[in-house]
Amino acid sequence: MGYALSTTSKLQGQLEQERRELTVELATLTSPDRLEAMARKRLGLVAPEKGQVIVLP
Amino acid sequence: MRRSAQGIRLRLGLAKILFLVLVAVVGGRAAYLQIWQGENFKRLGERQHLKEWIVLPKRGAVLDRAGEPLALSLESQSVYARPHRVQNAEALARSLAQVLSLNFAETRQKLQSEKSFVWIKRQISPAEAEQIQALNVEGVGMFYEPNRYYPQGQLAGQVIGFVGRDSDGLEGLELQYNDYIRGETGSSLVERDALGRRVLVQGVEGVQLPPGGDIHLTLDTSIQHLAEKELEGSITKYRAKAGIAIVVEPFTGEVLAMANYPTFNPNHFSQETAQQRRNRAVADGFEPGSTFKTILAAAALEEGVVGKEDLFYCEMGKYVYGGKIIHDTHPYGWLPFAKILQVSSNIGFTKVAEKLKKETYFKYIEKFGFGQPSNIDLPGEVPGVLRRAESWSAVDLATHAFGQGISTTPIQLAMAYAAVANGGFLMKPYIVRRVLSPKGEVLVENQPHVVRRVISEKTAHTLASMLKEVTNEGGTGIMASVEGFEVAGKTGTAQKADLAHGGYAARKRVGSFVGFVPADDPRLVVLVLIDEPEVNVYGGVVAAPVFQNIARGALRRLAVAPQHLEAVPSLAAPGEIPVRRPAKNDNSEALDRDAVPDFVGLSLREAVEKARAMNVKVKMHGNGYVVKQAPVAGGRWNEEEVLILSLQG
Repeated sequence: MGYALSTTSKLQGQLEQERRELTVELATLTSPDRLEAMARKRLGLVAPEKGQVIVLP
Repeated sequence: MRRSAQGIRLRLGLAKILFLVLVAVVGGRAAYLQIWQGENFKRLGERQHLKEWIVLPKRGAVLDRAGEPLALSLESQSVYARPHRVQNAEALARSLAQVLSLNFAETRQKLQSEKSFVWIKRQISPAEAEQIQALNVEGVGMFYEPNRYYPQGQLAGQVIGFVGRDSDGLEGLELQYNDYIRGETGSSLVERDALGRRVLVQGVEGVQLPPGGDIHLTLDTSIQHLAEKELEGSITKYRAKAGIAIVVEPFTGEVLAMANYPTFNPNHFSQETAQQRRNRAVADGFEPGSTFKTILAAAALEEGVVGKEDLFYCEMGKYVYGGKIIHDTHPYGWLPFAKILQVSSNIGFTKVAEKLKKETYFKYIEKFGFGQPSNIDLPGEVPGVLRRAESWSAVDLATHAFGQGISTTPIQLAMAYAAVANGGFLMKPYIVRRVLSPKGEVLVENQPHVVRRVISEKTAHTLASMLKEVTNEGGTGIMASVEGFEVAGKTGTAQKADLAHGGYAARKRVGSFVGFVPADDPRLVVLVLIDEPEVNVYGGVVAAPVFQNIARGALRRLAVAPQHLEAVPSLAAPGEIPVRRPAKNDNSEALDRDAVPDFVGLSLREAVEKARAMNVKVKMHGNGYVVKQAPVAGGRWNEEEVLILSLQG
């Protein structure tokens, strides 16, 4: 009983740790610096110019 | 038969005695072990299967206003040894060195040291931890140690700060809010089975330590990123030493962005210099220069000593006052007060200060929060330096009129402009919205806090209308204008004090722009300060465009609709919207020739030379430096292929 409890709580700890690791990974991958570099290099996007922004009233 | 019966009884008796003796011996031994020596053996036994488990605190996260993580903690294990308990140092060192890929000789030396505790390796990987666990050697153990990660890298690095290895914040918000986010340390006993696995934790609640709270910031990651990027762009372009940008919400005092360049990446805090770690937006004082004229203008309007249209004679650029000659960059004659602010005339402002009197002026400098810390929730804030009005000479009154002889922090200046923007209230700036415990309880909550009313709403509005002229045609801050919006603000170009020789350094300048937008319904106050630019020093050239780009992007981010919907391209003709494709290697040359080159920031002579070298036809208006060009750099040529340059100095 105690052993099962301990194993489960250990698993819980591992999963929580894994979730935190994935959160860090996600945040790193979606950091604005990286996103901008990817948008410019891989997708070839550029910042919109004056005439390209249309504001809907 | 009888004899044999007697014999049996005798033998039974003997056997009984024998067993009684045996029982007594065993019982005695048992009693000796259990009662006499019991405590001792129990301790010995526990040492074999119980282990002390030290639990280090779980530090809370730092999140931006949208919940985007800026700092997170992960646990990783660190291996330690207790050398005096190690049996075979040689063999152990070999296996440890192999598992943890360490140097064998160094590891052996550690294991043979006289210390009672040595770190073998800190922050090992989970795979390494498993192998160490499998070794299960006496004298070697592992700690769970939290490791801090900053997933956005250098983003707002100086604001967030960093954490030392012992889990204490050492700079920035990590230091300021350390008590709330640190969490608690504790230890408990753990039972191990024959393989060294944890079986049951004694006192389970012992390890369920409350983790630290999470910090929710007012910062907006997108605006912060934009501010850092634009700042870096101008600093590179004008070869400046450093720079600061602040974006504040004027009605609440919430800080949306606080950028410093050079940047600082808290993931590698030990490799970066102390200078990089400094959050100079709060920790350094600067002579504000002409951006401070707004403070004098506010005081003079509030006291009623001048009106917006009052005329002053600007002495055609040279004015002897208090035994010194005061210069203007351009000579002017009679100008109304609003125009004096628009062209930033030092002589005009000297005359305004004279009318106001130094004591009254000083009273307003203090009311606007200068000389006192803004009490923003960041460590290391300095109050700036004020000299009391009693000690001012006549010429000191003049220099204070154009922002010299006084030291202010960028955050103080931003908050003073916020007071003009929000109708006269000096707000306390803050960067942490709230700190929440893991259970969701509010541990700290910052709310908008009015420090005091500084000027009346009427004065604030009059001043805002005057500051609008600065970014219009004829003003020093025209490059700060944002299409579709009216911008109120002021440029500044301050000399830097020469710390080695006294007085002012011949070449060193600080170019700045502070303003708010939209001028009539302000959503943002933006301050930009460029420290020691070389190519050009004027605030209107080096800082105003940074303001423009930050303000434009931030307004878009906050979904503030432009007030003037001018030149809206017709939706019916989407083909006419110029779409630029990324340059490919084979046709990049052609694209480069087609794109309009950048002339902004060049002097008249440099512009002429560049135009000649590039064989570009130019038309110029004005004198000094190029502040505007049509078509814009990187855009399309007009039909005549003539570049029109507007210059100002």
